[in-house]
Amino acid sequence: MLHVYAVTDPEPRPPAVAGVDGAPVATLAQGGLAVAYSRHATAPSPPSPETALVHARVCDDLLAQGLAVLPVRYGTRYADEAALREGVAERRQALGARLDAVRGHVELGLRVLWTPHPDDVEPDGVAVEDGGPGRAYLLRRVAQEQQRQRRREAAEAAAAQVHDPLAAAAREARSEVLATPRLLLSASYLVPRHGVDAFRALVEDMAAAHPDLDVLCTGPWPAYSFGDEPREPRSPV
Amino acid sequence: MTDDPVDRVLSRPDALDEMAEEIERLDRRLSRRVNADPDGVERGLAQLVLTLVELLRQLMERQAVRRVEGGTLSDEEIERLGTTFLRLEQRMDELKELFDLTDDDLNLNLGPLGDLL
Repeated sequence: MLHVYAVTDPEPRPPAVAGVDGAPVATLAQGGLAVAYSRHATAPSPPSPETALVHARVCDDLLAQGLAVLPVRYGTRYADEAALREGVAERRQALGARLDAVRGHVELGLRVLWTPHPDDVEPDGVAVEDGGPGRAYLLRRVAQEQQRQRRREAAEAAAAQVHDPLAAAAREARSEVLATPRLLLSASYLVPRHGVDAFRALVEDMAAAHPDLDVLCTGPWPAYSFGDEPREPRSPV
Repeated sequence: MTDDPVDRVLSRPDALDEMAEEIERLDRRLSRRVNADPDGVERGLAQLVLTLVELLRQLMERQAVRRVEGGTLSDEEIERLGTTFLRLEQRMDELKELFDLTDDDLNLNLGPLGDLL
């Protein structure tokens, strides 16, 4: 069974670090791409912080070789080399396009916490006391729904203030607003390898301009979040 | 680059612990799955069924909320609809308690599609 780490440019040097469960990492070239993988007699360890770090170190090693790297999701397995070749050949065009997109770039991650306004339970201009319990229940739900909507809009606006200037300075960006009620923005930015310091300065200026927000910026990482083409913005539900 | 994750922190807030808590919370949500192990098969099945029931209940309730907002319902209709949803919610609460399930258990993360509820 093969555990796959990343798709890269050919020809990578075999990574200097061991793979999952101590297995040596090999590489295979297929259709102008290369794949880093390790061979296992039994199923490789399930995902855990430790195994994820081992997986990440292999991707870091490839990135440090100056190659374009697309890390593969942990747990991606193939039966043997022939199946792996076939899998890569099927997605050759898409993988090649994404390698071109991330070449010469690294990923920086951003997490922003905010403190949402305390819940206001009373609905706008409706007297809940009137009528029976059914009416009171439904009007309370109306109020909650309106409040949810207001919070969502406030979050979108606050997140855009942070995200838009950073996204403009990046080659590509991915973002999610309110992954949890406190996590205002989770975003990834694809920036040039040599542009990390400039981007970090932008982040620090932005954090200074928004003292009410907690900002964590991490990297440089291989392009974990950029394996797929950018998605069209989701239409509001 | 070294192995120490701290070397990958470019800019950090004062409240790093709070950030870590929030990311852990997100991590738990992402790794939540319907419990289908043989020992808890009854609870797993209840979780699956109640997840679907809860989805339908919330969709219907949201539709009712929109009709109230639209102002097309009479007071009597609002009372009747509200009573129905109030009882449905109470019944769901009883079932959740019976199978020892929380609201979080009835929400599945659908990856790029976001949360079910």
